[in-house]
Amino acid sequence: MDIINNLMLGFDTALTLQNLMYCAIGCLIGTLIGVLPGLGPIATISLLLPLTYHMPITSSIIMLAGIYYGAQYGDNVSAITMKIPHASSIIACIDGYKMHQKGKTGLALFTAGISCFIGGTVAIIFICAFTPLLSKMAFLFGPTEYCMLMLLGFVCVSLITTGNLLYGMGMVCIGVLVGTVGMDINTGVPRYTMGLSNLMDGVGIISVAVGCFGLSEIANNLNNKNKNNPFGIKIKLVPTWEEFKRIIPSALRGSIVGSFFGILPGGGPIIAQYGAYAMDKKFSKYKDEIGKGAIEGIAGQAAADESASRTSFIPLMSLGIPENAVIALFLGALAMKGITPGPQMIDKHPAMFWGLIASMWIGNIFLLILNVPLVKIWLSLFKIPYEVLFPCVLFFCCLGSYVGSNNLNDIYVTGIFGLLGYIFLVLGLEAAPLLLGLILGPLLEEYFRRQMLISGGHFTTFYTNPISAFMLGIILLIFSVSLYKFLKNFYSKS
Amino acid sequence: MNKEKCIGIFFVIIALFFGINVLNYNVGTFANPGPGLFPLISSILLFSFGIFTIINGFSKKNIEIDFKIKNILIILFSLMSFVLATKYIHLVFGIIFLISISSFATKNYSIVRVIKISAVLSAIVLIVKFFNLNLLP
Repeated sequence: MDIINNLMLGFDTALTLQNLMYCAIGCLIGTLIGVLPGLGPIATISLLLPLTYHMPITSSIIMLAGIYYGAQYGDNVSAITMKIPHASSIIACIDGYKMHQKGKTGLALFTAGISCFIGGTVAIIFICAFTPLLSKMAFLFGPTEYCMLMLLGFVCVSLITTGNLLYGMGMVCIGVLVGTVGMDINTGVPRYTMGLSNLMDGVGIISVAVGCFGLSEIANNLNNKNKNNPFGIKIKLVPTWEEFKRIIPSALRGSIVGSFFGILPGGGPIIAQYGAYAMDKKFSKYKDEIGKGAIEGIAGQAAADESASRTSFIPLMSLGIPENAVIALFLGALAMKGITPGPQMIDKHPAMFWGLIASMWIGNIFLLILNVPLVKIWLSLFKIPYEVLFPCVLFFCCLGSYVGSNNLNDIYVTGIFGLLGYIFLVLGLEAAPLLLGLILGPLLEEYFRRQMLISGGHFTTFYTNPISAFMLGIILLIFSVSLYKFLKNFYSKS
Repeated sequence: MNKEKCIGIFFVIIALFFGINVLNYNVGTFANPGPGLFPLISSILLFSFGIFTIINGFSKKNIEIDFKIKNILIILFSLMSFVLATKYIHLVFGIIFLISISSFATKNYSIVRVIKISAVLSAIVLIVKFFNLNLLP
C-alpha cells in the first residue's frame, strides 16, 4: 500500500502544469542535444544548472532529469544514423548502423524509442519496489568483486562484439592502456603524457568515441562513395507484429540488466548496454543475426541504457553517492537548494523524490510522442547530399570534442583516434571493446590497487570470496573453451 | 602479409610502446603497487595476445588489405587547420578552413558549396556566441 500511496503523491506532484512543462522542456532539449555528435547531458546540464537556481527544487530536478534521459535517446539517433556515438550508445553503432545501411533507419529509430519507453517503465517499477534492497546490493560489491565484474565484462564483450577473444581482448588492453594516460590519481605521477599538459587529465572518452567511430566512418564512406540513403526504399517506421514480438523480450531483458547495472557506481548505462547485448547474443531466439543489423541489437541496448539512467538515481537519493558525472551534477542542484541527499532524504522530501519518479514515467510518454514525428525529421537529414552533410558532421564532431573538456587540443586527440579507427576498420577490428577498456580501465586499476593494498599483495581473495570466485570461474571457462578451439583449429590447419 | 599477422604486429607495437615507457615509472610490488604496475601487466597481456594472433596468422590465407590513406589524411589536416585557425584567429576562420580543406575529400570540389556551408555554420556559431553559451571555443 505504501508504494501506491507514494506513487499517488508522486503523480500529484508531477502532474501540475508547471512540472509537466518543465518535464517536456527537459525531454526536448535533451533529445536535441543528444542528437548532436559528441554533445551529451553533462554539457547541457552544466549549462542549465545556474538557470535552475530560481526555480522550485522539484521542477528543476524534473527538468534536469528530462534532459538526462532525453539525451540518452538522442544519442541513439546519432549512433544509428551517423555511427557517431556518445558513451551510452556505443553498442547502437553495431546493429543500428547496419540497419541504417540496409535502409531500415526508421525502424531502428522507432525500435530505440519504444525500447527506451519499456526500459524506463521497468526501471520505475524497480525503483518503487526495490530501492532499499538495491541500495544494499551495491554494498555487497567491494574492490574484489568490482575487479572480477569488470574482467568478466571485458571477456564477455570481447567475445560477443568481435566473435574472436584474441582480437577483442587485444582491443580491451589497448583501451585500458590508453586509459592509463594522464596523472596517476594515487601518486600524482604523470604517465605517458609526453610532456603535454592537456594529457594530464587523460584521454577523453568523447574524443576517442568520435574519432574511432565518426571520423573513420566518414573516411570510409568517402572512399567507398557509399550512398547511405534511407529514402531509396519506402520509409518503414512502425514494426510489423512479428518484429514487435522480437523487440519485447529483448527490451525486457535489457531493462532488467540495465536496472541492475544502473545502481553500480562507475559505469551505469555504459556497462549496462554491453551487458544487455551479451544477454541478447546468448539468449535471443535470433542470436545469429545479432551483429548483422538485428532489431534485438538495438532494443536490448536502448532499454538497458534508459533503465540504467533511471536506476542510477537510487544511490544518490538513498545513499547520497553520485554514481557518475551526470548524477554528480544533480547532487550539485540539490546542494544549491540546501538539500543533502542521503538515507533520510526520501523521508524528509517525499514529494520531490516520488514526484521525480512519477515525472520519469510522464517523461517516457513525452519522449515517445516527441520521437515518432521526430524520426521523419532525422531521416530528412539524409536528403542532404553527402558532400554537404559530412563537413557539417565534421564540424559538430570538433564541437563535441571541444565541449567534452573545454580544450581545443582534444580535437587533435580525436584526429589521432580517427586515424586509428580507420586502421581498425581496414583490419576488421571492432572499436567497442577499446572504448569499454578506456571507460573501465581506470576504475579497474583503482580497485585492483586498493585490493592489493588490503590483501598485502595476495591474490587469494579473488577465489575465496564467493561472488568473485563465481565470476572468476566463468572467465576461466570462457578462456579454456577459446584456447581449446584455438589449438584445435591451429593443429588441424597445420 | 595477411590480416591476422598485421593485427598481431599492431598489438605488439602498441604493447612495446607502453611496455618500454613504463620503465620510466616506479612499478613497485603487488603489496605496494606503483604507478607502473598496472600498465606493465596490461602491456604484457597485450603483447601475448599479439604473439598469439601472429601465430594464428600462419594458418590463414593472405588477403589483400585495402588501405586508402588519402581521405583520412585530408580529414586530419582539416581538423588541424580548424584548431590552429580557431586558436590564433577566430572560430569563423576555423570553420572556413575546416570546410574548404575537408571538401577536397569529395569527388567534385565546389567553391560555391564550400562558401554556402561555411556561411550557414558561421551564422549558427555567431548566434550561439550572441547568447553567450559556453559551447564554443
